[in-house]
Amino acid sequence: MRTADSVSNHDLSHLAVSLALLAFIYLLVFGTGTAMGLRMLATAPRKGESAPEGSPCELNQPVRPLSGSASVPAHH
Amino acid sequence: MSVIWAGIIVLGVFIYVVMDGFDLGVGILFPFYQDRDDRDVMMNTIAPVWDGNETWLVLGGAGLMAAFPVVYSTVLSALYLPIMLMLIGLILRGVAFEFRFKASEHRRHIWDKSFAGGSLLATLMQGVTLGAIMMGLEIRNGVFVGGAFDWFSPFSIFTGCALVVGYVFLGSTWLVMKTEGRLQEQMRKTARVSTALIAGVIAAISLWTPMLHAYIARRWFDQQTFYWFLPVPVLVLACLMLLWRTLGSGRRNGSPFALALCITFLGYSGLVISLMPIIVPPSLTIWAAAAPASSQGFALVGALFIIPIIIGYTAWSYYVFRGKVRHGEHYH
Repeated sequence: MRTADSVSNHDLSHLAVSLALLAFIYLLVFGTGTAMGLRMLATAPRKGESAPEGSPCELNQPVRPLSGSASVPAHH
Repeated sequence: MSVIWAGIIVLGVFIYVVMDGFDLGVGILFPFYQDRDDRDVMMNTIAPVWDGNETWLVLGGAGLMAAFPVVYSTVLSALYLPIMLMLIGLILRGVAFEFRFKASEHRRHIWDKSFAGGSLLATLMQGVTLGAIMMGLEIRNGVFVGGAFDWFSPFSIFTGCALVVGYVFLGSTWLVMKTEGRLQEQMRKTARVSTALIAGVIAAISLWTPMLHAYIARRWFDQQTFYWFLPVPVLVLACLMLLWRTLGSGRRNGSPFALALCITFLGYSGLVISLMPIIVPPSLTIWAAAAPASSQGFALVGALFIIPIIIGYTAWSYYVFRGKVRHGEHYH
């Protein structure tokens, strides 16, 4: 079976609209993520900041990339 | 083999409805709770588990493709637009979990809206999908031949709204279990309202569905089988009344959610009773839609291996995050 034989009978306009919608949503989501990442990179280390204590899974340790981007409480 | 696969898909979809049901319900409830701390708590009750819940949607879809390819191709073609909108809703609410807690004070409302709006959109479209399948799809030679908007009908719009009520019902009883104090008191009231609404919705669907197809009416009202299936509506009624009283007493934490699960199970079993062995109304049965036995067997080995693993890690994550969620507990 060739690709052309397996095509479903959708309207071109429906496919175009849904593709545009998906492209828009992905740009929005990844754009925001990138902006947050850049903000993270732009934040300089504070003076006298020590390395985080404890293992990566304990409280106040960022465990995902985005967790580091904003107000993680310094000490509990 | 087709029966086993139908069982796996029915089970997968049920687990999905229950689990993603309550977390989508929490999202739909968001606009009714304005306080920022309340919203943090509500979101934190589902943050550790919501993405695992959606595993079952993937399992159901993949199982359908392996075991009943005709259903996969026709349903996804016929319901292309609602399913795309559902996925977009799921994307919008999914990213809100990450971005909302990191957004600055004056931008947070964007992600609150994306969480609530995405949850509502996904739920509506899932309900519409269900309603459209119940109505039946026009299939000829294993190909969908209807129009792109065949799914749009009074019944499917009603099932869309009905599912919103159903998920709010699951979400509010879930929050009664996971919160405490003032927020829990408010949730009890919300849960009571949604219990009254769900009773109305179940009644309406029970009356409307037999009118869609003659065989559904025969299934339920036939002299010989009437008493076999009578326990379903009787038990639904009993659970609803018990739940109403439990919520009114204001003491129990977990039992409202347990009762809501029972009611969801009974409602879902009613759906299965109505349709079996038809997988796509009006006439496609699980045997007519089955993939060759060799494909079904091949995929079954994988499914039987992976399903216990999924159930295992899911149970474990719920166990790890058991108990109440309090104000000020952070999501990392």
